This record gives sequence, structure tokens and C-alpha cells, in this order.
Amino acid sequence: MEKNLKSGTKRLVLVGNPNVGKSVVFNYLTGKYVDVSNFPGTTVDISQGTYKNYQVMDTPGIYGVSSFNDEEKVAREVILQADLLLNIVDGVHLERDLFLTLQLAEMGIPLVVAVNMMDEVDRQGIKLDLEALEDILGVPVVPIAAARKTGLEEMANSLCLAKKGNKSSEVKKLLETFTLKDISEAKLLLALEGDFKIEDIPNKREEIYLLRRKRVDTICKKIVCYKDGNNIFAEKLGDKLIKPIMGVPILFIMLFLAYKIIGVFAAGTVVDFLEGLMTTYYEPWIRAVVGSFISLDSMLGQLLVGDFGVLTMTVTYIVGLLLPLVVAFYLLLSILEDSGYLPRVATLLDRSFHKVGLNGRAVIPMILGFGCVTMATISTRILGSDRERLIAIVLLSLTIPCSAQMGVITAMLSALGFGYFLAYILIMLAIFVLAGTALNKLLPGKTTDLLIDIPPMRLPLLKNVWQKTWSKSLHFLSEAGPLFAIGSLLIGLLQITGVLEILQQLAAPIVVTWMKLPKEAATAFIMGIIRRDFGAAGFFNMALTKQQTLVAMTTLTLFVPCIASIVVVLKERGFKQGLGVFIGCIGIAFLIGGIMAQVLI
Amino acid sequence: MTLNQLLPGQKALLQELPEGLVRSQAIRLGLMPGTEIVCVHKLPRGPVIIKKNKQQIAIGEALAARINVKSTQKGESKGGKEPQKWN
Repeated sequence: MEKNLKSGTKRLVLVGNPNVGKSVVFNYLTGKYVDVSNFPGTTVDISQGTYKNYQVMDTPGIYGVSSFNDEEKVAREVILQADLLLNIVDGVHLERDLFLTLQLAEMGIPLVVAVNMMDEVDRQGIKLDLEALEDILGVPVVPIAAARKTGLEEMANSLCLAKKGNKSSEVKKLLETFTLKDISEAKLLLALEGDFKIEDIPNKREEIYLLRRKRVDTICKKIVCYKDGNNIFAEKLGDKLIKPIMGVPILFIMLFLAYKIIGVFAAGTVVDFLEGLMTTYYEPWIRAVVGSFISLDSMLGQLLVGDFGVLTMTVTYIVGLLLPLVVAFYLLLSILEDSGYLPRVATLLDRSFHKVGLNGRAVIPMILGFGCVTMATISTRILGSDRERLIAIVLLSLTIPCSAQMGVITAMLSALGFGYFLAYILIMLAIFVLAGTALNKLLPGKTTDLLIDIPPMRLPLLKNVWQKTWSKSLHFLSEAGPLFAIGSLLIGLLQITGVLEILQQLAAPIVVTWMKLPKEAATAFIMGIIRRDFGAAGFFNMALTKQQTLVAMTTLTLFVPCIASIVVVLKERGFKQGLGVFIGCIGIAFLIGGIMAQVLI
Repeated sequence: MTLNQLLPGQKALLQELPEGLVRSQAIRLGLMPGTEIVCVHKLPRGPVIIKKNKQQIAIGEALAARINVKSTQKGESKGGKEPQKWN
């Protein structure tokens, strides 16, 4: 982030609560050329672009500047480097949003406030006295309706009028009492709020927060006038989605649609098409190219363009399989995110998740897991505690089949009839609950409580959704791509050195006697580590009875996730725990598969 | 009484919030002693959804049980009708 600026360039940072239309404003200012990068040490993305002589930086949606989670820490770092701030607030929810605004004003960084959703404010008959707000804050306040592109020009023009905001007398006094040389007001304020370490500065977070909250309430009483009895459609829909009677059936419909779009269309139709292109055109071509330089049978040749070659399998995998899945997945997730549906699902499922030691927020990594377990494992960082992150990662690795795998599993199981399919789902669900409950009981500590804002339901803007999808997909692929490459390189080495064959022979007796499957199944399981769907596909060509198929599919799902997710788990949890998850999954997979085989076959 | 005991439609004033990080988070979201709220919905043994003016907040059951409130108005009986209009 510490890029040097050209002289005369100012760093403009966009700040706002989640879902206030920040990205629309960002896109308006920066146009097409946006650079999305990962903030060092986190999964949080920061978009950057330029507008006139400003370097514009977006920040994740936050309710205040502090350090309660990764998003806030990143936003805090970016804000502290800003020359000026553009705070976007939701005009319908000033009570919620002004807390952040006052905090920014008190930090003493030049500020402009854009009050968004003014169209919605009018529609709901809310009256806002923005002139009064401007007087109180002491900074320019501009009304905008970003989705309708109104007011954006005025907003951009007022950037040059950015001013340091007024502080409440109490905060002013506190800042004067503790004033220090070489420390900016912003840092001093954050130190007083316990979010920045400076020696001898006491933590007065609660006192300052209370003062600020009271000031927000006083301001809102002065400038906001609500109209009575105005219950619009979105609000009614939002209320319905949270109640089990309507919410649960709608959730199932949504999951079914998601499965149809991702599991059937993207993982089936699109992947078949793209993979076909890759294997018929790309792979022979790259083999020919590499073959003209080195022998294909040499070790290097095998590593590059062999069965598990970095240039053959990895590229086919990333372009043919991962790309369509990840794009479809992020597309759906962006729609869910922007519409305001996710917090409602989190609320609806909070109680169920508590049983397995998680709270409702875990719904995001769990949903993501059905797309790609690797992606989901990275996203567990949004969870409230380390304990919850570990539980979520174990459950993801153990019980959630990713979309690539699900495609093959559904194809094989649905051929057996509905009963077997149902049995599979019930077994997975049971293991999910058992494993989660066990971890919840065994791990020290307690689950954190749900405390979330439920934003209003909104129709997502297509352009925004697409932009989000694209930048997130590219970013994921650039991060996961190398991991897949490392993985296939490892497997390639194992194959060349003959270790792969030894592993298969070692596993064969367990597979044959304990799980009552043909000996080739061992190969399929091990292949599943490389690509979960490879493993499943291996079973297609085996003559299996119905019971054997069920045992095989269950074991395969429980079995370790693919090589990329193993690498991510190792990275997230460290070597010891990562290895524990890895070995635990294999153990449980063989144990349950075996028990099922002994009972069924 | 505590927040998780409110019935849909019932108005109340928040009185005491549990200490620690969760209190800071609650204050930031607009919940502090003296705040007037309406219970919108309570999921069976699950989170309570409250409303403060136009803003809705979901609070996990265990946390809601640690928040003391003073009821200012009776809610509906458990007839299961829509919560009454607020604002």
C-alpha cells in the first residue's frame, strides 16, 4: 500500500458502512481502470484507481474505525494514510452511519460527507436537514443518489472543499489533555479508543463511544424527520425472509437455484465445454511446443506436460474448471451480498449453527464451501474467534463437497435412485452435526454471540455485481493458481519417483478388506487429493454395487479436500493443526466408510 | 426483564448491556442504556430482531438474555399475528 505518490497527487479514501453504495461512487470516480489488491496479511481486498489528481482508495464497509476484525484493521490503516476522506452514508440510516462520520470528523482528517440514497429518502417520506448537518459537522455535506447517478458531479466538485470536521467539546478536551508531539490527532484519538498503541495513553473507548453515540442521537433528533406508517415492499419482504415460516422455504428455494446454476450449469455444461476445448486443443498444442525443446519422457517433460503437468493439468484445471465455477459462485454471492439477504440467512440459521459451536455469520464460509472449499477456508477469517475459525475449517474440510465434486457425486448417486441420494445427504448432515458438536464440547472457550445490523433489502445493480464478481474471481485465481501449481508439481514428483504407486498399494488392503471396494478405489481416493472430482470420476469406470457406490461417495467426500485447500489450511492453521486436520479427515473417512461397508455390504 | 423476553411489537428501553468488547460494538450500532427499541421478531430459541427507528439489528439469544430492558408497552399475545406498525 505504501506507494509513493506523484507530486500534487492526493490520497482520497472512501469510507462507509457496509451496503451504502460505496462501490458505485468508487466506480464513478475511477472509471474502468481499477486495481484490486490484497491488503498484506489479510483476505481483505482494496480497490485503487485515479480521479483527476487524486489517488482513490476504497475500503471495506465498516461501522467504525477500530480493530474488531480484519476489515476494520485494514480500513484503519488506509484511513490513517489519507489526505482526505469521502464518507458515504445511507440517508435512510443516518442513525447507524453517523457514528462513523463523527469519528472521522474527530480524527482531524479533511472530510466530505456524501448522503446517499436520497431517492429512497424521498420515497419513504423522510425529511433531512442537510444544511443543519453541514453546520454541525463543519464539513461539506452533499446529497446524492448514486444508483441514479444524481448529485455525483456536485460531490466530486466539493472534494476540493474538504475540511477538518468539528469535534465535540468533550473529545476536544480529551485530545488536548493528552496531546503529544509527532503523533497525529487521528492516531491519538484511536489510541484513546484503545485501537492504537501509544504509551501512557489510557483506554477511554467506552466513554468516547458513549459520548459519540449520544451526539449522533441528538443530531438525528435535530435533522431527521420520519413519516409515520410507511411500510414499503422491500421492508415487508425483508421481515418475511427472517421468519422461519417464509424464510426457511425461501432459503431452500435459493439453495436449489444456486445448486442448479453452479452445480448443474457451471460445473456441468460450462465445465464440460471448456475442459473439452482445453484437452482437445490446448494440451496437444502445449505438448508439441514443449516436445520440440525437451523429450516428453524426461523428468522435466513429465513435470511440465505429463499427466499431472504444471502446463497441462494445472492450466486445464484453472481455466477449464476453476474459472467457470469461481465466476458463477462469486456472481451469486455478490447478488446475495448486495441484496442484503445474507445477514437475514445468518439470523435465521444462528440457532442451528450454535449447536456446532458457530454463530450465524458462519453461513458465508459454509455456502462458499459448496463452491470451492479452498475459497471458503480463506473466508473463515470473518468469523469472530479463533475457535470458530478452527471449527469451520474442520467442518469444511470434512463434510462439505465442493461443486466440482458434487457434480460427479450427484450424477453417480441419482443413477441409484432417490433413496440413496437422500441417504448420502443424511449421512453428511449427521457427520456435520456430530463433528461440530464434538468440537464445540472439546475446544475451550465459548461461541461468540450474533450482533449484526440487518440492512434493508435492495435490488442489486447489475454493473456493480459484475464488477465485484470479476475482480474477486481474478483475485482468487491469482492467489489459488500458484497453490494448485505447487500441488500438481508435488503429485507429479510422487508419480515419477514411484511414491504414488507405493501409497496406492499401501492403501489397497484397507480399501479391499475394510471398505469392501475394488482395489482400484485406492487410486481414485488418492487422485481425489489432486482434484476432488478426479477421484469421483475414477469410480465411474468401476463396476460397483449400489451399496459400494454409496460407501465410496461418502468416503470420498469426507476424505481430505484437494491439494490447494490442504495448502490453505496449513497456511491458516499452521503446520501442526493443519496436519491434524489432514490426518483426522483421512481417519474419519476410512472409519465411517468402513463401518458403512461392514453394515451395508 | 431481559431483551429475549420481549414479544413482537413490544416497546422497551435498554437498561444494561454486558461489559466488554460486545458493549463497544453495541454502542457503535446504536444500542446503549436509554435507547428505545421495538422487538420486531423473535426466532424460536434464536436471535431477537429489534428495531430502532429505521434500523434493524439481530441479537443472538444468549447475548439478548444478558441485556436488561424495561418494557414501556405491552406486546401482542402469542397469537402469531404480524407485529403491529411502529415508527
